[in-house]
Parts: sequence; structure tokens; C-alpha cells
Amino acid sequence: MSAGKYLTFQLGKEAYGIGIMKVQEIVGVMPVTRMPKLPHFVRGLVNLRGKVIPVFDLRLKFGLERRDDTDRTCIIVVRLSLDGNRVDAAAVTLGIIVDEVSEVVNVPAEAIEPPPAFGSSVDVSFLLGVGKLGNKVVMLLDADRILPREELQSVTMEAAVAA
Amino acid sequence: MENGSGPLAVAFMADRVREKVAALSEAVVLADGGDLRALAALHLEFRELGESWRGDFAADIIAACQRAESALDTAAAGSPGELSGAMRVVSECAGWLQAVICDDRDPRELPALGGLSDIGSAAAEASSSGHAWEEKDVLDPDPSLLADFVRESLEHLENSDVLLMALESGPADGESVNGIFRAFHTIKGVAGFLGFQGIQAFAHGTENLLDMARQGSLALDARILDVAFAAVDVLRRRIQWVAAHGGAAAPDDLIGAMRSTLERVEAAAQGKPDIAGQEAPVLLPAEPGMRLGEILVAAGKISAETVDRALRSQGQSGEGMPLGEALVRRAGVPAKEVGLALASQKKALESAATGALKETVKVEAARLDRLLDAIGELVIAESMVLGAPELKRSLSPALVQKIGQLDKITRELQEMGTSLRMVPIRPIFQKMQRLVRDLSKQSGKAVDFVAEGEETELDKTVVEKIGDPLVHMLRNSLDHGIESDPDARERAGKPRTAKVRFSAFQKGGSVCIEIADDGRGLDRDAILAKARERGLWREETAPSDKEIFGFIFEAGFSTAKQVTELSGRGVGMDVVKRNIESLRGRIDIQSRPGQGTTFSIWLPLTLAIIDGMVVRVGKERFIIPTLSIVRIVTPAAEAIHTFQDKGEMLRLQDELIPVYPMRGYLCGDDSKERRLFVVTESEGRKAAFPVDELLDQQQIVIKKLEEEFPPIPGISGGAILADGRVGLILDVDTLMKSEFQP
Repeated sequence: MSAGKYLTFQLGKEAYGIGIMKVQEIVGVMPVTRMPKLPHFVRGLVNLRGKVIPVFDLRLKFGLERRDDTDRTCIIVVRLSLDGNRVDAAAVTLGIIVDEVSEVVNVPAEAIEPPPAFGSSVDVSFLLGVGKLGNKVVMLLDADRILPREELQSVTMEAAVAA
Repeated sequence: MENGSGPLAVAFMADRVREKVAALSEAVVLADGGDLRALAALHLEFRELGESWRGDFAADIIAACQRAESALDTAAAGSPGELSGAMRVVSECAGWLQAVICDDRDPRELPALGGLSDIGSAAAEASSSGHAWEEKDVLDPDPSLLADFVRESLEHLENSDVLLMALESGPADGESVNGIFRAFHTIKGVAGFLGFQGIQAFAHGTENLLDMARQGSLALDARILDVAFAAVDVLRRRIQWVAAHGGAAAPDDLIGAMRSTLERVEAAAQGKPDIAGQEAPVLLPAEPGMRLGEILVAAGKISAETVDRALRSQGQSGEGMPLGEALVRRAGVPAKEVGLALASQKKALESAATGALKETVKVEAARLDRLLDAIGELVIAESMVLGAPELKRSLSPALVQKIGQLDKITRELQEMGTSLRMVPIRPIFQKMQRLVRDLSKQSGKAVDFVAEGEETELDKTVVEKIGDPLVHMLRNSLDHGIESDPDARERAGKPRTAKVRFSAFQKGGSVCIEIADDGRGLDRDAILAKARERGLWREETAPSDKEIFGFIFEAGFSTAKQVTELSGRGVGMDVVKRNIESLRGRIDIQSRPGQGTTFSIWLPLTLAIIDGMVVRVGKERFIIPTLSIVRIVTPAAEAIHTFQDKGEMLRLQDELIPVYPMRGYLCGDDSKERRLFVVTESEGRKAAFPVDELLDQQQIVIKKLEEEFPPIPGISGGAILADGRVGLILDVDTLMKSEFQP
């Protein structure tokens, strides 16, 4: 069911894939305007040809260590819904900052294994499965679940109340 | 029927009519009884034929046409069962007409057609038994068809409102009645097509009433106009229900309202068939700039040769006889027709002068926004290219000239883009006019409505949001402002009929809307007394006019001794003020006792652009709307006072202004450096915001943040700065809320 075409990218040594239908475009890293009181993994706002969109640092979201941008760092612009997979959820355009974009691959159903159970220490809720491609292993992400709305909302609400 | 035309013209006419009748009977055979538009077209053809027939057997032919018309009405309004019967009557009539007119048969030899009465009674039966109020079938029409239907119908109803008001204030004008008739007719047709039988029946009933008025068999008096107004209102409610709920059955109260209104309509139609009403001539179709001869030829009244002949005779006479006269005297055209054509020509010119309908294209608002985005981006890209050092090094005069050209075009594009979102304020004023009419009837106060500057354009969003506040202020004016006793007005040296004036005009980057009444004016003393009573004003000295009038914007403030149906509950002016401020506008009041009150609402031309001050705080740049900035100061160190070494206050002249250190919140650094303070005012409260540097003051194009993105307190939106980066627009109001204090 999650078979199909994926855009693969790297975060450090790890390879990830995101459904190609969710991807709008890939742009180079550009100057970002920081926003107050947002989760640390929200880098800020960028101007995407006149449209103001928020960008996220996927490294920080996944708890990897912060790394300076290189000339391979990219923003993958995705269109997804913050309410998970609900069909009626409104779509948002977001940028996801990744270390480097690799290629588009076709992942057949037989190459996909269900997400492994790492125990409670690792959150796999936004993992569709693990794709085995030759000697490579690609983590297939459920784009709509990477950034649940509640997470964003709760953080900003806390900021508003607690500060 | 009088007949003043020569034998040649009669022969020509007869030929044309024969062609028409042949075409008509063919159309009847082909007509699909379910297609209401086709039925309506046939109806019109039969009517024209009946009206224009000048030959033999006029009475019989007119009767046959009327019979066909009546049957068509039954077909349009009745149930499917009646449809086939009615269509059979129509084709009988068409056959009969063809036999008499085209084949020159004597009607006496033909089988007699039934009278009007049998169809009439069938139609009456249909209308009493079959108002299908509950739409029987579950409607599931194409949503885009529904949307079109709703939009068109609402436009038609709006139009009818305007026309009805014109009829009410002016002489009976055939064109206006026709316009309203057509509006209901179209709604009926489309509603039938979509299966809204209730709407169809309702529109049909109203259309009948209007038809009678149109033909002059019913005088358009105030009663009929009232009924027509009511019908427009109820139908609008029904259509709005469709807009909100699609094909779902309407609620009972709405259906009840439709039913009772239709009863009123039918009663009015049957009431006093006052034949005294004079028939207004139906004007000929004419475009502005069309010449008299062209109009007559286009309407099929005379042939081109006749005009030529008249023109030649005009030349021969040598005394400059007008064409109209030449047509009548030399070419034997009926004077009545020429007169009608002249009136049509004049009307066409008038309507051209008073802003004839401009050709428009409807565009989805989202597409428009995308276009504006793209233009904004173009402007930024251009300025980045022009600022590139590589370009500066290689500038030649020719290149400078070309760049100038490019610059001019981009600017033009930008202006045009902004103007695309602008719409005239006219629809709002029309609504106000209608409201004045209703309220003045309700309250028994005679009020004239004057609108000025209806052409003034405003951002679409502003126009959409300004309606409710204006309605509220208008109600206030009528209820509190205008004296209920016309004698009192007379004693004060004012006309007995009060006047409410709406005017709009543009001044600089703002648009002003004024609502002025010539009523009794605001009662200073009563307002002040109430303000003291509520503890809004404690000082002994009397406040200024501005301060006094400001009290009426306080929540729950009312000096009204009794709550009326219109207003007086003290709810409202505060909401009005808030609404206007949310549009980044302000409201001023001028009032003179006994002379009246004028409210002036100042609104920005467009919501998409604000005048902003770009400031630097730490490493970030922010935009503060210039509208909320009172002043910018570099105070001496001793002007800053602290409380518990935390809460800071800035002393400015004799005012102590709280300092809101936004740096920690916005930039996450807590540097204590204070050099510049931007002092802002919002809702009467002042605040000082420390900033590091003033960078620029410029027009800022506001960009909404992603809709699904949670709102960020203190930030009202983003904007793209000259270097293409995003700057955040500060929301002074929320920044002042205590949550953000350190």
C-alpha cells in the first residue's frame, strides 16, 4: 500500500524517503527569518516566490545534532496536511530542510517492511515502513504525520500562556 | 388598431410576419416542454406577434396568441402531467396562426380554438393544487450550476431592489418594471431547471403580478411595490438558504414566509385590476451611438430602403428637415414608431452616460491573489537585479534607458494589480438605500436618502466587511438622530423630511465614508452625565467634544431611554469601532446640536498594503505599522524609571508610558541596551517598544502566514522586504498584553 515513488534524501548517514506526490519542489537553502516562540526545529519563514512559508529543520525534529548548512543543504517544499491522513484536512505548504537530496526511487510493495518496533524510546508513528533497495535501507516517511498540528499548536500555546 | 402606414409598409410587414409565424410553429414543434428558457422565448414570440399584428382578423389572431401564451405559462409552472396538454394547446394555436397568416385561410373555415378560460382555469387549478413547497425530489444538482444559480439570482434580486426603489421614487418607467419582471422570470426558469419547485412557483406568482404591471393592467401603487419588495426579500432568503445548504429542504419558517408572501402577491394581482394605469411604451433595443434609422431597421419596424428614401427626400427638401420628420412625412412611417425610436435612442445615450454596464470577467479571488503575489515578486526580483554590483559596473546609457523602461512597466503592473482588487462601493450604498426605505416605513419617519461618490473604489475585503458597521450606524442615525416629530423639525427650521447622506471619497491613501444625518445631533449633556454615572469621566472639568463623542464607543453605552426595535440596547458602537479598527481604519464624529451628526470612517485604500516602519531589534528586522506609531524618541537615561528593577516606564513629558521589552520574546536575547523607543498607541493605551535601529519607512505588502499555521502572538503577518527576505509585522495590541512581560 505504501509502494510507489519516493524522493530520497540524506540526514547524516541515514537515508529517508518521502512520497513524491507530497513534494512540490526542491529549492536551495535561503535566508530565513526567525520566529519567536516556536519549537526549536522550526527554523523560521522564507519567501518562496512571494509566498511566505515556514521551514523546519528535520535534523532537529528527529533529534539529530545541529549542523551548519552546506552547499548541498536543500529545502524540500511539501504540501501536506497537519491533521494526519484525514481526507478533509486542509493542506499547508511547508519547507523541510535536509542535508542533501538523493534521487527519486520506485519502491515496490515487496521491498517494504513494516516499521520496526524500537520500544518506547523511538517514535515511529510517522514511519510508513522501511524500504530495502539493493544494499540500501530507506526510511519511508508519512509526510502528513511528521509535523502534527497539535505539536505546533501546543508549543505556541504554551509559549503564549507561560511566558 | 389604427394603422397609419402606407400600403407598401403593410405588405412588407406582412411578409416579415409570415416568416416569423412559420419559424414560430416550427419552434413549437421542436420545443422541449421541460426547457423553460425555450418556453419563455416562445412566450415572447407569441406576445410580439399578438402585439404587432396589423392585418385582418386582428381580434382572432390576438386571442390565439394569448391562448398560446397562457398555455405556455401553464406549461412552465404546472406539473409534468399538465405539461403535455398545455404544449398541445400551444401547437394547436401555432398551427392555427400559420393557417390564417401564412396560408391566408379564413378563420371561420377553421376548427375553432378554445377560449382563454379553459386554460386559465387549468392554470388556476394547477397553482392552487400544486405549489410544490417541499421539494419532492432529493436535489443533487451540479454544485457549479448551483453556485451560478445562486450568484445570478442574488444579482437579479439586488438589481430588482434598485429598480423597485427607482419606481418608488420616480414615475412608472416601463423599462424598470420590465427589468424586475425579467429578473423573476430568469430565476423561475433556472430554478425550474434545477428542480427547485418552490422557488419556481414563487417566482412565477411574482412574475405574473409584474407582468400585469408591465402590461398596464395593474397600476404600480405603493401597495404593489411593497408586495414586490417583500417578494424580493423572501426570495433572497430562500436563495441564500440554497447558497448555504444546497438542495436541502428549506426550514418551515422560510417556507411559511414564502407561502404567505405568495398569497399577498396573488391577492395583489387579483385585487383591484385597476385598468386606469397607463401603458408604458416598450422601448426598442438601441445601442448608444445608433442612429434613428438604424434603430428602426434593427427593430424590424421599417426597411433600410425606407430610410434611404427618407434620407434622399431629406436632402432634396434642402431645409434640413430632421430624419424623424422626414420618415413620418415622406416615407409614411407611423409617428408613434418614430417617437418610440427617438425615446429609445435617448434612453440608450442616457444609460451610456450613467455608466453603462462595462464588460467584466469573473475571476476566482485566489487566482487574483496569485497574480498579485507574482507581481510583488517581480518587483522585488527587479530591484535585486538592479542592485547587483555586476550590473552597476557595466552600465551604459542604452542599458540605463532600457532599465528605465522595465522599471516603468513593472510599476504599471503593480498599480494595475492593486487596482484589480478594488471594487466600487455602490452595492453597499444600494443596500443602505433599501434599509433607509424599510426603516423609515417601520418608524414612520420620512427620510430621504442621498448617496454621493458611489464610484469610489475600495479593496474587496473592506467592502465586504464595512457593510455591517454601516448598517448599525445607519440604524442609530435613524432611531436616535432623526426626530420622530416632523413638527419639531419644522420648528427647528429644517424640512419636514429628514435627510441621510452617504458619501464616499478618496483622499491620499485613504477612503472616507461619511454618514450624515440632519437630525437632532448628539446630546452632549446626556452623554457626559451617563459617562460620569458609569465612572468613565471622573474629573470636574468638562471633556472636549472629541472625548465626549468617544464615550459612545464604550461597550454597553447607551443614553436611549427606551430600547426600540431599531436600536438603543447600547450594544453596537463599540463593535462598530472594533470592526473599523480591524480594517485598520478610524472613525471620527462631528455633531452640532439641532443640526445633525456626521460620522466619518477613514479606511485604508487596500488591506494588502500598509505603511510600515522597518526596525532592527537584535539581529532581526521587524515592521511596525506606521498607523499605530505616535512618536519615536531617544530618551535620556533618567527618563527611564524602573519598578523592582524590572518593570520599566518611560517618562515622556507628563506621561508615564510602560516599556514592553519585546527583545527577549522576539529574539531570545536579553540585552538591556536601550537607545530608541517607538511609542505606539492602540485603543487609547500607549506603549513604548525599545528598538536598536530605524531602517526604513516603506509601503509593505502584507503576506498572510500559512492558514493552517498556528497564530503567533505578537505577530500579525509577514512581509517581503526589499532584499527578498521575510520580515515580521508586529501586532502592537497583543504585544502589549501582559503575557509577554518578562
